[in-house]
Amino acid sequence: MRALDWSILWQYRDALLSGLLTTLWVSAVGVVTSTAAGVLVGCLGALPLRLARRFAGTYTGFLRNLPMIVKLFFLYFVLGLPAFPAALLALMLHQSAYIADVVSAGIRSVSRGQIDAALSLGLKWQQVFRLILLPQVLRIVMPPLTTQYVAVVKNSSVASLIAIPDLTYETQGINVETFRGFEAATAATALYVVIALAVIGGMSALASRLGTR
Amino acid sequence: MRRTLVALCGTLAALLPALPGHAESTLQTVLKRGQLIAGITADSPPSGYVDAEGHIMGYCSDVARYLSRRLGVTLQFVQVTASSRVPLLQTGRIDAEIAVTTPNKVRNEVVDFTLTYIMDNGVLVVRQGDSTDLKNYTNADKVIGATQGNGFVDRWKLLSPQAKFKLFQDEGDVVVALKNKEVDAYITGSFLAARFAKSGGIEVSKTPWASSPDAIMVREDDSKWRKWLDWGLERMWVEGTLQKLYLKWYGIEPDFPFGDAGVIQPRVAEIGKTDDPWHDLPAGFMDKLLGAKSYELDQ
Repeated sequence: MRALDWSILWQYRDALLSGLLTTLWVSAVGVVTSTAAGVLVGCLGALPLRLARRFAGTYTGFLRNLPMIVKLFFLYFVLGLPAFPAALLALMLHQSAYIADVVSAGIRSVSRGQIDAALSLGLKWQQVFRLILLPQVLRIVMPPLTTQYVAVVKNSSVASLIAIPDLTYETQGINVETFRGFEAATAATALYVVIALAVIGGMSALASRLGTR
Repeated sequence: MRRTLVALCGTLAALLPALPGHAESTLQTVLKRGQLIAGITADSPPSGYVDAEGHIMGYCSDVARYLSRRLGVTLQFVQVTASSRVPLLQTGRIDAEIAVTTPNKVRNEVVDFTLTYIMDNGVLVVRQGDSTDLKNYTNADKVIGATQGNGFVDRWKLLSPQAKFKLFQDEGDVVVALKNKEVDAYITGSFLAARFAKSGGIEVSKTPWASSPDAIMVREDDSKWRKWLDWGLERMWVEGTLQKLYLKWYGIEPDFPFGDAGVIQPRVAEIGKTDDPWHDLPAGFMDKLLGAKSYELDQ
């Protein structure tokens, strides 16, 4: 019977901490960039311009159906982008497609009458989005956005495949050096759960502040 | 939320003491099952790889084919990676990892190893036109590529303590990273490097800078199984089969002292009364095994 050796986690604490910080950094950049791109594409899909709607539809349809790992490998191995830009771009492209869908659904849930009233009052479309739609939409889509942000954290682990030293990468490193994969994987699981709970908690607090709960 | 956390902690605490062990020797398990499940790698030609038609090829798979016939059982291959090999072994999903794992003391605390059956030499792989002199890559501003779990990484750290590494999952990924200038050099074994050099655009250093023994990996404290595998390898050596397979796949005779400090156990050819199955090989088996289509022996 093999005894587990949890002291290995203390021995490799620097590697785990470094991996955790890299995961947090990649996830943070992923959340910001995918939200910006997703909101933009979601708004394009709501415009009364056929070309804009078609672009938004193609963007979300294509990117949602392509696995993240395929996007990552294409950017890194085929286009030859450096590792970090490839990982961040792959994460942004992947998640923004889902966020665009979420935002589109949110926009559709706002009464059309509000948009018509705003336009008839002489507001331009960018003012309609900025002053009328997005403040409401972002409150409505907080729960599904929370799910997407947790997905960003989970999907960031794919970056380990191109040697980005995130939490998954460091965990695998501990495993192959010490063969203590169970202990290493347990530590990584616990840390990912903590990050996910922090994201959920943060979004919940934000929702409370915005008065959506 | 609180209940979820309590449930999670309770589950983890229940797993704290130990992983389940195996009371029966793997040797008995294999014989009862009638099948040897061998873990092999698919990205380490010519030791272990899959050809374009999906056939399992390489020195390691041929050793597995031979050993399974001597055990009198069928053979199943399970592809493993550096990350999955130990969990698969410890959970009984494979009976042995017959691949290119380098024993070291830290790993030996968790698993056991047989005698060395491959001795690989470490070489430097660089982009075509770049220097192959080791001295040019031991400074701190060079990035060295390798795979995670590669035994040569620790050896390189001895040469160059301040070395920066980029470690990938697969050998092929490192070659692409080298060609894309993500790394300045790639450290790997000479056998694998020779195969990758055929892809063009890269050069391999002529002089090896380290050697790395590889052995079959088995579960810890399963001496009956480990001993049988050691006897099997020693018998293959006495017969000359191991040397022929080495020549078939690596193009050279084994250039290391096989056995315990180069000594084969006296009387290893004697078949024991218990815990030592050693079936005769069917007619034509060796010709097939040493030929180009040894995968046709797979049942």
